[in-house]
Amino acid sequence: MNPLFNIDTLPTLPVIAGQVLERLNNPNSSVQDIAEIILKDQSLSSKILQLVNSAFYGFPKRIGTVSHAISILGFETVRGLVLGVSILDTFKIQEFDLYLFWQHSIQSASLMSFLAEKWNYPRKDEAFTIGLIHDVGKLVFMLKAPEAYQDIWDEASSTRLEKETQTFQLNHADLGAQIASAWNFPANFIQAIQAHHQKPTLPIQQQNLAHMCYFANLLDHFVVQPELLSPAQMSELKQLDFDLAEVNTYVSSIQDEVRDFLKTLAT
Amino acid sequence: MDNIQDSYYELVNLIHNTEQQPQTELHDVFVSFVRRLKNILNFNGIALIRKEVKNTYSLSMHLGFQEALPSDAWLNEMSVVYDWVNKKGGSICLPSALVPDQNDLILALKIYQHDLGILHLITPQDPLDISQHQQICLTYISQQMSRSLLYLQHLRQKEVDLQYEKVHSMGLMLSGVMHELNSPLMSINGYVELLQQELNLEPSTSVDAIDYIQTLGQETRRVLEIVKSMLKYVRKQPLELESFDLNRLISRILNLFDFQLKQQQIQVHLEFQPKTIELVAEQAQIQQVMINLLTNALQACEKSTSANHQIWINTRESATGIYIALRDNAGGIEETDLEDVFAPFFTTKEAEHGTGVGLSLSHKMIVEHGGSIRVWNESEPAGACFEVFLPRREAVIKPDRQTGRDTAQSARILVIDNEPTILKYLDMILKQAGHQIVVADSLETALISMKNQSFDLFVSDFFLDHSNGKVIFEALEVFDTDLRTKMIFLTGAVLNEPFQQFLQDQKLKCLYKPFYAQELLDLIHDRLTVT
Repeated sequence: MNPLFNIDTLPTLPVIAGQVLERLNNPNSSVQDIAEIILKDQSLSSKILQLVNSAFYGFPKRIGTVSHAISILGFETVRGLVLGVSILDTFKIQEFDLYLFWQHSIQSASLMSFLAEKWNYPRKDEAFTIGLIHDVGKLVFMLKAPEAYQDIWDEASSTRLEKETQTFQLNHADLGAQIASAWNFPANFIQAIQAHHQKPTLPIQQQNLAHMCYFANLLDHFVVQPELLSPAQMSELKQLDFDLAEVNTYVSSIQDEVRDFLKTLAT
Repeated sequence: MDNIQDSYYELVNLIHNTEQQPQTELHDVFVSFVRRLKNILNFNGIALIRKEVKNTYSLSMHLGFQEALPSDAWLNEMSVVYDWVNKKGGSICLPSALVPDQNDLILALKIYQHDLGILHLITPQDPLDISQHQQICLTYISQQMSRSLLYLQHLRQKEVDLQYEKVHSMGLMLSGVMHELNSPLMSINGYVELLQQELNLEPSTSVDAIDYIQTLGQETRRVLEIVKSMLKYVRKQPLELESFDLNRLISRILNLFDFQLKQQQIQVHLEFQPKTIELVAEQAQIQQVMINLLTNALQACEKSTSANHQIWINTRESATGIYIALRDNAGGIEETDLEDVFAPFFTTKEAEHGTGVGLSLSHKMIVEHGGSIRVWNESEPAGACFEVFLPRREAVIKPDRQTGRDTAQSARILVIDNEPTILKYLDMILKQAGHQIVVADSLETALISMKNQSFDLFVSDFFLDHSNGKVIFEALEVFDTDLRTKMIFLTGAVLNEPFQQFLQDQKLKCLYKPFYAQELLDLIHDRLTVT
C-alpha cells in the first residue's frame, strides 16, 4: 500500500457532511432530522437550495427550505447534493481543470438514472448519487500527488487505469472505495465505486449498482469521445439491450441542465 | 377492400375509447395497495389518477378523496406537479394544495418507462416527519402497484384485440354477402311494392291476396332494413341518429313476436323505468339488436325443458346513458361459451335455427353507437342476462322532409343502369311519379341519347360495365355543363377513398343501394327544387 494514501492521511469530509451521512445511514431518521443538520451550515444549505431550484431539477414551484427540498426531492437526492458540495469543497485543487471532471461525474450520474429507468432499478435517486461520486478516487490522486497524476491525466483514458496502478500501486476505483468507507458510505456505494472499472461478468445484472455504474461510465465516454473507446469496449456496449443512439439523444437533451447544475455547484 | 379495412381501424379506436374495463380487477388492485399504504403512513384520502394518451390526467378511482372537488380544475392545477413527479419518479410530500392543513403525498406510477399515472394521498402526516424508511417503502409500493396496473392494462389490451379479431372476421364476410344480396333484394322489394299497387287497384283481388302481399312487403322491408344498416356500417356512412321512445320500440317489437310468445307460452315482464325513455340512436339498428336478443331468448326457451318460461325486459336511465337488460329463465349459457357468444358464427343452435351472426352483429351495432353489450348468467331462476348500454347523446334535429308530393314537377330524366331488372324498376317508379324517362343500359347508349335531347336529371349506377362514376361524369359533362347539379349516382358497392373524394369534391349526390323508391323520389325532388 502506498503510504501516501494511508487511511489516516486521507482527506476528511466537512464535519456537517459527515453528520448528514451518518444520519442518512439510519433509515428511521426523518426529513426534520436531516434538515436540522444541514441548516447548521449556512453555505451548505444555501448551495443545496440553489441546486434544487436549478433547471436540473426544475420543480414547478420555488423550493424555499431545506426540509421542503428533502420532502420533494427525497433523501437520496439530498445525500448526493451534500456529497457533491462537500467533495467540491474538500478538493479545491488548483492544478487541474475540474470542469471536465465534474461534467463527467454529472453526466454519469444522469446516465445512471437513465439506466435505472431502463432496467427498472427502483432507486433512481440512489443510482444518481453513485454516478456523481464514482470517480472521487481521482480527486484524492490530484490532491495528494498532483505532479505524478498530471502525467496520468494527460494519458489517453484507456491506459489511465494501468498507469495509476503502476505509479501508485492502486487505481482510482480502489482509492475511491477506501475513501468512501472512511466516510461511512453505505456498503453498496463502496462496492459500486470499487467495481466501476471491473468488466461485469455476463449476464449483466441489471439490478446491480456496480454493473450499472460500469456501463454509465462507459456510456459517458462513448457519448463524449467514442473514438477513444477500445473495440472491446465498443462490443460490450453493443451487448446492451437498447439502441446506443438513444443514449446520445438523452445526453444531448440534458446538456442545458447539466451546465446549469455545474455552474451552481462551482460558484 | 382498403375501405373496409379502414372502417375496422375506426371501430378498434371506438372500442379503445369505450370505458369497458374490468372494473373489479382494477378495484381489487387499488384496494390491496391502499391497505399496504395504510401500514406505512396514515392518510385520509387516496386517489388513483390515470395518465391519458393526450398527457392529461383523469381520476380513475378514489377512497375518501374530496368528492366535492371540482372535477377538472384541481386536476389541471396539479398536472404540472404530477408531470414533474412522473418524470423524477418516487414520491413527494408537500402542504396540500387541495385540503387546508393537510399534505399532499404524490407517488409516481411508472414502470418500464410507461407513465401510468399518479397515486395522490391526502395525509395529516407532517412532511417533516416522514422518515427515510417510509420514503423508500413508498417508492417500492408505487413500483409494485405500477407493475400490477401494467399487467391489468395488458390483459385489457388482450381482450380488446380479441374483440377486434371477432369484429374483423365478421365484417369481411358480411360485406361480401351483403354486397351480393343488395341488388336482387332491391328488385324484390321494388317489384313487391309494384305488385301491391297493382293488386290494390284490381277490384277482383281477394282480401287474402292483399293480406299476403302486405306481409310479403313487410318482411322484405325488414330484410332490406338489415342489409341497409349493415352496409351503412361497412360504407362508413354516419349513423342516422333520431330521437325516439325506446320503450315504445320495445313494445312494438313484442307485438311482432306476439304469436310466437303465445305459442311457446312465454310470459314477458316489462319494467320500464321511467315510463318513456328518449333515446337518440339509429332506430333500425337498435330494433335489430332487440330482435336478435329476443330471438335468442325465445330459442333458448324452446330448447330448455323446464316449463313456465319467462322473459324480463327492463330499461333504465343513468347519468351517462341508458341500460336495457333482457333476462330469461332458460337455464343460462354454458360458462365456457360465455365469452364466445359475440363471436361471428358462434352458435349452439341447430343449423336451421340460426347462423350465429345475430349476436355478433348486435355487438357491432352497439359498439358503433359508442355503447357496450355484456352477458352473464343469473341464478334463481337460472338464465342468461344480456345488458346493453347506450351512452346519452345530444338529440339531433333533422330538417323536416317535405313528404307532400303536391309540388312535384315533371322532369326529363335519363336513367343509366346495366342491370335490366333495376333499370326496369326505376323506369316504372319514376314514370309513376310523373317523370319522363329515357333509359340506357350502358354509357354508350346514354351518350347517344344525350346527343339528341337534353335532360333535367341524370340517375346513373356508379359502376357500369367498363366505366366508373368519374368516367361517366366526365363523359356526360361534355354535353351538359350543368351536370353537377343534375347528377344522382346509385351504388351497391363500397366506394373507395378516391371515389368518395371525387363525390365530395364535385358535391355529387350518391344513393346507396338498397334504397326505397321513396328515397330516390325524395332525392329527385330535392334536386329539382334546388335547381
